[in-house]
Amino acid sequence: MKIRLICITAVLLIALTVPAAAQTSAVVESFSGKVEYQSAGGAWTAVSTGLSIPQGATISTGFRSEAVLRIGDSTLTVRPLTRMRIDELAEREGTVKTDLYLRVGRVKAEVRRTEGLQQEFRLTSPVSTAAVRGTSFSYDGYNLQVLEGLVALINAYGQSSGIPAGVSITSDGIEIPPGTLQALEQQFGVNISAAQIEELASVSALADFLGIQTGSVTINWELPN
Amino acid sequence: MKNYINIGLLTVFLVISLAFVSCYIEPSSSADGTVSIQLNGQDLQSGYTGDILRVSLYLDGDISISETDNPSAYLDEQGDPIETNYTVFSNTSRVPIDGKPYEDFPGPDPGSGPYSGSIQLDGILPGVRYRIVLESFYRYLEEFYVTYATNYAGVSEAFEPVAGQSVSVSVFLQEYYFS
Repeated sequence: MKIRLICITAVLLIALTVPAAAQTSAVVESFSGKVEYQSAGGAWTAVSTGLSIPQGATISTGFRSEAVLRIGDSTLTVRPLTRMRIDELAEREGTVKTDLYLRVGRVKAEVRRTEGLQQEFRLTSPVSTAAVRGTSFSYDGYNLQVLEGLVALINAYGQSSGIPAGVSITSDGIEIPPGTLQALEQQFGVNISAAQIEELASVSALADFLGIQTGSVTINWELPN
Repeated sequence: MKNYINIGLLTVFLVISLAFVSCYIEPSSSADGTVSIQLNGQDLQSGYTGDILRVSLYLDGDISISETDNPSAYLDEQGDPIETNYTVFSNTSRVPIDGKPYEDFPGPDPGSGPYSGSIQLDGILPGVRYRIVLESFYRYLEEFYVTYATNYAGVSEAFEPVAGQSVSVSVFLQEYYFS
């Protein structure tokens, strides 16, 4: 009995001393065109203004479509033909932690400082990670443009580099840009849905899908003598 | 007798040199007599040191290169930015080449030439208009590989690849100075 009481007291003490992580949310502030989200294991559902997208969900934008998400005091503009998963949204011990996985596409993030709160904002792609604390930047998984503040870009090898405002930088990437997909769709009269983007993220896969041969270019270069 | 030995040694030396050089360079000459080399589109082997021509493929659009105080940059092998005296401005996307954002080829030394040549880039999707951005770098081995910009860069006119065929574009590499 005495042992059980000690155990219960210990559990209560631990529960009181370890601060609980309060979950924040990503709220759809505005959107245009076709914007859908999918909760883990669920079906794709159209978003609506004011909708709170849960942690673990994936958001997808179609052609000429865009969504603006409010995450705490930060704003995330999800550009056309983007697929991004919300891995973590939590406030813990005075830190707002946002972890997003950008599978394909481009986002513009404005991460704002909040009085008394630290921001830990990470945007990860298959090839690199942009980690920020109070800044504004645009990122598509391998092209990073820093508009304000300082962004740490971590490449696939875990090497980190601080990128200041005004600098655009590229790390290794593997994606087909949305503009290429759109132009090919018009050229060959096919419809490439947002759900197919992941499977078509290489030139050879895209050429196979469209049933076309690739071409070559000979670049004749000249240097001043 | 002495002359025969020298000529013999010289011939052996020339044959060995040509064997090495022809691994990736095919000498040719143009009508105006300009020295030219053909780079056979082989991307760089790991451990390559020397001059590099970096090819980036962009969707057609407004692409320009300007001298700037806010340089564009790439991450080198160590994750450090390679600073340039210029910035490539573009309102379109960069298109991956063989799963990478750019492709590196053995290049010329801007100080000693050759001053013209060509590179063939394969595996480009037709049906879309593109432009090429070409940049010159130098890579050497210190304790680790270091890449720096020689600050020569150029952009091609727009072109559209044809399935199963090769089209040609010209790029003039201009020198950019720190502004």
